[in-house]
Amino acid sequence: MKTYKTKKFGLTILALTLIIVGLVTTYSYTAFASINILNEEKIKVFVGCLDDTNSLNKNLFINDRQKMISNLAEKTPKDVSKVLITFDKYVSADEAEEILNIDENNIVIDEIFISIPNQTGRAIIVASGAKNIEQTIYSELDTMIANENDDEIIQAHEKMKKEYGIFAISFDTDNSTIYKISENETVKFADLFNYPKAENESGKTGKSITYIALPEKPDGTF
Amino acid sequence: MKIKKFMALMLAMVIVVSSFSVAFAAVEQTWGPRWYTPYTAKVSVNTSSVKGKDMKWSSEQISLFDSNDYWELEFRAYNSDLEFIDPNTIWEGKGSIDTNLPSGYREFDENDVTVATKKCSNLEADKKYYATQTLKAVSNPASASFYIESETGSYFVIDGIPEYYEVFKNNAKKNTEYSW
Repeated sequence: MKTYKTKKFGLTILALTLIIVGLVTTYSYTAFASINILNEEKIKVFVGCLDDTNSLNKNLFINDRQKMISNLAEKTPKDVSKVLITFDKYVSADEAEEILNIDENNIVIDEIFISIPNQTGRAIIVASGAKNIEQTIYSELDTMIANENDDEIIQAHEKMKKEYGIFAISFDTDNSTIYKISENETVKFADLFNYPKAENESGKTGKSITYIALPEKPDGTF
Repeated sequence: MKIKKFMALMLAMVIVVSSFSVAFAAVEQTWGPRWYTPYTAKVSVNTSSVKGKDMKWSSEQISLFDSNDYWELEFRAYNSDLEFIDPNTIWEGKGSIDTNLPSGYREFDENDVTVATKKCSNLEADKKYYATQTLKAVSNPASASFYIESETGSYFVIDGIPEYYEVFKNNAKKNTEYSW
């Protein structure tokens, strides 16, 4: 009798479990089938992002990422990678060009990250391989100003143009050069657009990866 | 007794695994605007930009964000057959952005064009925020209408997980400013 009751209880639990799984799965699939499905099918990775990492983990994380750069420089020095370097202070366009040594290092700049020191906000300037950093920043901000009809925002763009400092740059070049630049004393953090954990997840699931550069500013503002 | 324990364990495991799966699916909500969406904003998708301006959050809204929450204003293009289309058929690719949002970023991929903040907890109550992604139109841009959506999610170590989103407008036209 006791065995029968135990079995009955077990079957009831099993049935309840199946019902819960069914409901949850249906709910989950309904959400996936909604308009945002494409967003959920990609893996989003923030590159150069340190702001949610505590100080101990931050150092471990930075060292781990630097190790990846030195390994690649040793094993495949001529292969080209994309990297985001974050400076430990705001630098001028001339200083950034000097650190990168663009022509000699065959660097293709992707994005330049600028901000007004001690102020929240930032501009991300698409360089598309341009070599003159200041000219590129001015040109993009001028386009923004020309396209804007809100006076306050125009003033904000103009202020950015006058007072900007560069705090990060992303670019493509060979692994050996990336390692060399990452060792520059002005570079606080060098982070490749290559996260093995995300790449493995992408390989397993077929999801695409979106790498988003989100470098930390040197003055502690966001 | 052993069967009971086994069943209870199985049930617990199923609930944990199922809950985990659900956490990865963004939940669509009917338009509010909800707690994560600025309570007022002007938004537009244009020939040469996507924009959000005069975006404001209240102190109560901001208090609901965790330190790793992000918020995105998304523009998703679709054609006259009601099929989503790649923004690359309208613009040449990702554009520069200028924003006063904390930890602002933008996206431009085959799904959508976005302006966003990765640091919602650092928003200031009732401050006017703007974010403009400047774009270059391709020579013969596809004709499109747009969904304009507000989305929030959390960022865990390497991966952004969308949690909730709501659609503000599902037939937005280019070069028209909409507000709520």
